[in-house]
Amino acid sequence: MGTVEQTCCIVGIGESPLGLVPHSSSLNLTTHALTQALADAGLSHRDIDGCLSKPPYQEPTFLFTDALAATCGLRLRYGHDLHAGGCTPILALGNAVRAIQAGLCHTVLVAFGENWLSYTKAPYPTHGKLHWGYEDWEEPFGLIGPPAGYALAAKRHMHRYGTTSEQLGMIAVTQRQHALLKDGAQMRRPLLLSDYLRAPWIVEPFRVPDCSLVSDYGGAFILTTLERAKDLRHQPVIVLGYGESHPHRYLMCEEEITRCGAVESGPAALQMAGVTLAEVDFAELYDSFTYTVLVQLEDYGFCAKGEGGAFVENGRIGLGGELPVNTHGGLLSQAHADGILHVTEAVKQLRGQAGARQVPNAHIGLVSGGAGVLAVHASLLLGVE
Amino acid sequence: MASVPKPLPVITPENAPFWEGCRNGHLLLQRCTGCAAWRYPPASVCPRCGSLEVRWSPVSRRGTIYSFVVYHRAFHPASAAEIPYVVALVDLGEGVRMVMRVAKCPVASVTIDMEGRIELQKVTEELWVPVFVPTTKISLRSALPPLSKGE
Repeated sequence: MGTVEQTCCIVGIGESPLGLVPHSSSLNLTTHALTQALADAGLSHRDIDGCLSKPPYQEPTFLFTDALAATCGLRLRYGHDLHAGGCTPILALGNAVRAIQAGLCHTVLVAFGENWLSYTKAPYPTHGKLHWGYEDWEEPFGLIGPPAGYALAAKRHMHRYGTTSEQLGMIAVTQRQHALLKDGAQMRRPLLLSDYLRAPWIVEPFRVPDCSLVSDYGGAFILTTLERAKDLRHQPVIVLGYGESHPHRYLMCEEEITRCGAVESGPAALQMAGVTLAEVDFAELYDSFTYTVLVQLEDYGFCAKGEGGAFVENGRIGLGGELPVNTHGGLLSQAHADGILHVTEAVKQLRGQAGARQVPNAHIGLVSGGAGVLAVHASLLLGVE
Repeated sequence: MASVPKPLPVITPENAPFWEGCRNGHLLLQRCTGCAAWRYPPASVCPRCGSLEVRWSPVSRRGTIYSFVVYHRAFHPASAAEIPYVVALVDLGEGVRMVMRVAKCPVASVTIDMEGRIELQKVTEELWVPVFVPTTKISLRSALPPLSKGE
């Protein structure tokens, strides 16, 4: 048994169209996913009394969750904005569970979306964009754009542990295989290791396929009590445990950059769930870059520190392997959805609805989130009886 | 061709001593007067001991490359002409790590653990930034392009 009573579950999930979705605001992508989640659960908007959302990057908006609620006719007893990048889904889920357990509300919708890709093609009218908070100490010094911070960590890992380009490539190749089995994934062409090794450098040691996509997306899930879930359409997917970690804010302040927050958030989630790593049937790991997957596999303890490179070889993280990872293709090949589609994919796997991607007898799934440059980390364990 | 402005920091009363130092040819960092720890980036409180008392002090300007990356794509129009360029995490003797460009050194010869000296490079009349200039003797072998597997 876990250390906390497991009383909450996911009863509905929704995904908007992904990739390039022109002429859609982030709010519209969010409402699309939210509507899907309600339909999936067999609930009406009147059944929702809690909501957590994330203000869009391109248009940080005051009281965004309330704007979403007003748009969709939700009457909330509990709701607030949460902005933690790719950690938002799991941090929101943890907050929602605690709110339900405290009796503040009974059914919480977690929904958000971004028009990130279409924005780069034809900027949607906005009032401003998010300040990331570290520009002044990185950009004038040459460190510009998301890949470089992670690439600095990857380079150090390669230096210290002998991790190779081919090993990073195997993560990209495996996830692409998974994405090809997923309807609506942004990447539709196979990727071979030879393609990977010929791909142009972005910020060395990262090539193009090491980097996550830029996507339009909306994602949503609905949490409620196990008691209420009895009357709903799907087998409830139980929240077994969750944990978070905040190792640093600035990468340059992290003493050992080849380590990530999974070191703390993993054991916290496992302890709450009362399960061991050996019981995990699949893992949907935050994959801003290939390296992000590798370092988490080590820091969760699926292999020894420094052996992540060898672990991802020989099909071990593919479907049919010892630990299928990112069965939907992830941020690298399905779409960059700030981790919310890692949650919806885990729910599909546990319900047995993953079709050609289905992990046989999936009972426990690990989901992770990350934000900043290895700055915040979150772990979630979901399961079915 | 009109030059694209480079990304510039927002200078505030709290961080101005750093940038004033750079402009005047000094690398000044914050040192806690409570516990003597150096800190960077600038902050109003010591994360080690909680003291609010701080002094801006010059550092040795010697450093070692902890990790580095090579930019092959410009993430800002102002750096397009400089591709490929190297950005490194540099460990200072004072126990502080800074991020900065590596200068006056062939891209292919940069290595982790390389030693060097921090110099100040002009961006605009008002703004100078620290850059890392290696002093480790570059061997002919390491100056050759790397024989990466699969290339």
